[in-house]
Amino acid sequence: MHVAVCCKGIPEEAGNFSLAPGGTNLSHETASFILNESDEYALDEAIRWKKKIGARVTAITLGGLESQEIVYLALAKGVDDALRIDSSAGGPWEVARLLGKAIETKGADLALVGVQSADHMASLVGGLVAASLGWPFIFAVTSIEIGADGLSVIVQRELGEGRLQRLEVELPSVLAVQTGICPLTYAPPARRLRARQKTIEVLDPEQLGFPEEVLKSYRKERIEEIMPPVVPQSAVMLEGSPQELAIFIVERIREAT
Amino acid sequence: MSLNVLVYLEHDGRRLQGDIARLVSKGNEVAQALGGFTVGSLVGDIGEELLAEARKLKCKEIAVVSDPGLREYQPELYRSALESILEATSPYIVLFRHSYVSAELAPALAYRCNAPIVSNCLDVEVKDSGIEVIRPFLRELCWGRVSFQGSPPYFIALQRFSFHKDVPANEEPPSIKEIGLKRPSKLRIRNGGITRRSESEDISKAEKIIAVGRGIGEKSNLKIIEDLADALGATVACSRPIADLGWLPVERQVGISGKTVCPKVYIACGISGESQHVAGMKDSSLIIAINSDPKAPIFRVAHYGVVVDLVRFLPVLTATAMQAKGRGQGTESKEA
Repeated sequence: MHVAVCCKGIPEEAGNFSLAPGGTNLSHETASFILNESDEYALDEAIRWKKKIGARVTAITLGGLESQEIVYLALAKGVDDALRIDSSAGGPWEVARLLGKAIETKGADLALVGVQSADHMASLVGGLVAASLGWPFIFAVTSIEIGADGLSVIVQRELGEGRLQRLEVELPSVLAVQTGICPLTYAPPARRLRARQKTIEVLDPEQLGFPEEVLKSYRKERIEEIMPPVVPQSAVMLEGSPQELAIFIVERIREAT
Repeated sequence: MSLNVLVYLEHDGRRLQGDIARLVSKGNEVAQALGGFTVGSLVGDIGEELLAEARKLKCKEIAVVSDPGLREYQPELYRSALESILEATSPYIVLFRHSYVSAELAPALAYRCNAPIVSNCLDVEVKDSGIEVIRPFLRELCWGRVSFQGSPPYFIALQRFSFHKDVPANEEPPSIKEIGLKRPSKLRIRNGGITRRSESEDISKAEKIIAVGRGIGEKSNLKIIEDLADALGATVACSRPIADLGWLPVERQVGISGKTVCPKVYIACGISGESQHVAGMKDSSLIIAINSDPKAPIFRVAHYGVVVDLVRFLPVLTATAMQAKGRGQGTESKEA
């Protein structure tokens, strides 16, 4: 089995950011990128399959040089190989087309993604990747077992409001794994340093068959403006000594019950 | 292509889910601005009860694909049914609630239509320049105004629905348009059944909830939360990361993937307040948020907010609650 894991780099701190030209993405001045949390669960789940049944694992990230860190982390955690798609694409369609093509090129028969990125918060890329490949897609997967024939996976997934569903899904397929699917592993600094010595495969969109003018046709939305949240109802912020605050809160609780 | 708005009426087989009536109202507002009307789309093994509930919605029409094979949700069959509805209704906009099911179905439908899709939206507006949505970015620290570039249908998943004006809706019950299910020639997903999580204690029945999030720091600090809950006679609940870490059982989790609660008092301790959590507690009568980050989105739904170090402050709150309880008990015993 060959598992591809899509790993997104996101800014560690949402400090200085602005709208990228053309409204295609947010651009960040912060230098430090970290692995998106829900993708880290996908990565660790894939590595679990490597340890358990010897699955081959490829990590794929999309971004500029700042996302190279994500690839090093994936290698330090134990993936077999890693690919960075050198692109600043941000829209779900564009990103999904590029990732889908990379997954296909790598010959993976299972692709794992996280449920949501902390920056775009859209939960769309996994579904669009699956659609572009014509593969089944399951969202919010909380456990994965390999089917007896090795040609399918048996998953448990969330349907919301405490409902769970068991499904048998033929491979190849795309699964969006829920946070908490497995314990997160820690990559010690020494392993991360060693990972930096490995050569990373980097492909640009054109090498994946998407020259700029083709990729542009997949830009189906545009961020026009970024603004502070318009707060519909704002909390009364309490100030005072801890004792004063505590007395006030206990009084409000008493009134409310 | 019509100028109509198709609204997906999500349900769990028994009842419509989420605030569907408001989603339909939002659909009406958008449809009126476009010059069209709202069509509901209902997919499942639709019984009388569910149909009666749907008929109360202020849609002009409801497109129904009902088949015994749709009794339980199956992604490929539900998608196929929605594809038939899309073909039969050719809407300008397709509205979903932002949910697990829409995260699975909507991208596949948008892909098939070669259409734009924007999810997790807070609002939709029809402008002279086109359709725009407002949605959060960067852990909800900012909002973005997003326009659609391609051609319709436009797929939009809304996480909550705000209104600008009351649209006089059609008072007639919606007409029903039945559409047959086209079974895909080969199914690649087999349903092994839907279950509900077993629950040792039902937090949705609690009158007072102390909910703990990642801001608590260490697992050992949970003791501080338990002490406070004891002092206030409250039930302990948590946000997703705490359940993911295994610090508290998953049945204590509040939010889209956990329970929806509506207690008289909800104290959010170290919970940042992302929409997935807020959706499960926003209707609580009194919400007090305690967090060390003054920018935490939880302060947008809370009635009262305190920016403090939890580990230092909560024991003071516990002691104050104990004293108040002591006084309360004293009075009661005197009266007795």
